[in-house]
Amino acid sequence: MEFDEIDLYDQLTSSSDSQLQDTTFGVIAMDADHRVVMYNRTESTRSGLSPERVVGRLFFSEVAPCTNNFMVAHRFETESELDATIDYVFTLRMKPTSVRLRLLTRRDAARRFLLVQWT
Amino acid sequence: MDLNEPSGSGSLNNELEELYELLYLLPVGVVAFDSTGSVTRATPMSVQLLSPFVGSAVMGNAFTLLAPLVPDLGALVRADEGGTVVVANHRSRLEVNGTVATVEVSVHRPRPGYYVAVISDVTELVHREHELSHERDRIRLIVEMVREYAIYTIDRAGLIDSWNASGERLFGLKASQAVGRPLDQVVSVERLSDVLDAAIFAGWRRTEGWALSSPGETFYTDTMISTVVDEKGEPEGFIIVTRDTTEMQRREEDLRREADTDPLTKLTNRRGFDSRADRLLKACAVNHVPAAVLMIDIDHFKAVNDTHGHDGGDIVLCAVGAALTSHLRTIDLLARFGGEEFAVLLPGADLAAAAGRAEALRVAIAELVVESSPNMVAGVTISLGAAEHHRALHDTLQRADAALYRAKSNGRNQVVCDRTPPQP
Repeated sequence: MEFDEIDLYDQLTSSSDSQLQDTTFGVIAMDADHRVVMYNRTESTRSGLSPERVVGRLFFSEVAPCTNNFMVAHRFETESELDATIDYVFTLRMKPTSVRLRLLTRRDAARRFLLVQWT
Repeated sequence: MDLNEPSGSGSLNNELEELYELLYLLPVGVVAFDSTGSVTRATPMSVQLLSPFVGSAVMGNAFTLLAPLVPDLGALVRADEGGTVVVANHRSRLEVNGTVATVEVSVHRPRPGYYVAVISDVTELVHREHELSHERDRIRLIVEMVREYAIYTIDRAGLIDSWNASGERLFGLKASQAVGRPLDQVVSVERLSDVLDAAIFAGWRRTEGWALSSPGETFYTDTMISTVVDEKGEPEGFIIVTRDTTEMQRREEDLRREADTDPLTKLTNRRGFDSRADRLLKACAVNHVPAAVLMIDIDHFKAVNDTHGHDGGDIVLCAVGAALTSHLRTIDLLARFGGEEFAVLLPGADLAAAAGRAEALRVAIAELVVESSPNMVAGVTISLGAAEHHRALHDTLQRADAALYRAKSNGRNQVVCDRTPPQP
């Protein structure tokens, strides 16, 4: 499974959570309210936060307020169909790191995905 | 379960996670960097606050990252001679594509080569501060710009404790001269402590009176004393508003004088005579001196009007008024009662004295020659009735009038005295 693949949304939704644990990129899955439903091992290792601490929380306000802006959260809130890749800086374990974010969602989808690739 | 696993390693992870979480959620941007500006650690809020203004590509270098806030941070760090604070509470207003924020940054150096920048969004704070200072400026402007008013404060003991341009203008006193003085040294206040107690009781108190300005001019003032209470409701001082009402006072006096003056002869009219005679007679009574009244009428005035015209008649009236005035003392009260009739109140005169004064007036007017128009002169005579004042002014006037009537019917140009004995 690759970060840039065109049909990545379908691949993600057709995989089980255990199959998504060791991807090369971080996977954060959210429900329609942007509550975290899955936080994969790759992302957890990078951020230093265990999935237990993150799952069930509102991602943009309670986990990563630094994404609560017009570039990330705002797009999830206003666009029902979304597949966008943007350059971003994450401070994972307080280390500023350049990343690429892929914002993925479909109309009436049960899951939305924020994918994180380290560059 | 491996019992040899170091106890607490699980809790250590847990604590580390909690620390991460705290820093991820920290509502303040913190950036740690070395003396080359290379960022070692930063909280997400620092990215959140600064990325709209610097772009996300430059997070690696603190000098570039903080350039919108402290453009010369690199130079400051290089020049740092060991102080622990490199930048103290430096505020910048940032604006990009409609995003406006005021950001405050401080840069500390806890140990050589280790720098920590603390960045906070103070947009709201600055907005509130701005509103407050705006309000302060507006009030200061009002206080300083008002004309004819002085707005200042006194403490609980009545000593002036603040003074401004409005007070300087009204009183001609500098703050250094005014502060520390009791209120009753600037405006007239009777029993200052009583007035302040009353102001505390009612919330305010108004007082009027003369005040002395520094150049030595007196002016009339109207002063409002409003009580200021502290958070416990205890009086802690007073706001004073003093207004210069001299002009108003003068205008009122002018109006009163105008209402009491006969416009033709500029003598006092009947109304003015009544109010001033009252005061004069009271003064005579208090001092146990007599007073008398003369009623005067110009003889054959209708003939004067017929011969010399109404304008000529007016000239004669004025000339008679002026002649009478010049033969009276300043304490005597002369009034034109209307038409060609005059009245005089002579304080201190008994009937004999009044008769003598009346005769002198008669002679003076008989000798008077008035140029009624460029080619005409008029000579007039007057008849006079004199009466000594006993009890009521209207009674004295009536008796003098009756005597005047007798003088008229006896052939005019003469003085007749009222001999009616005082009624018990």
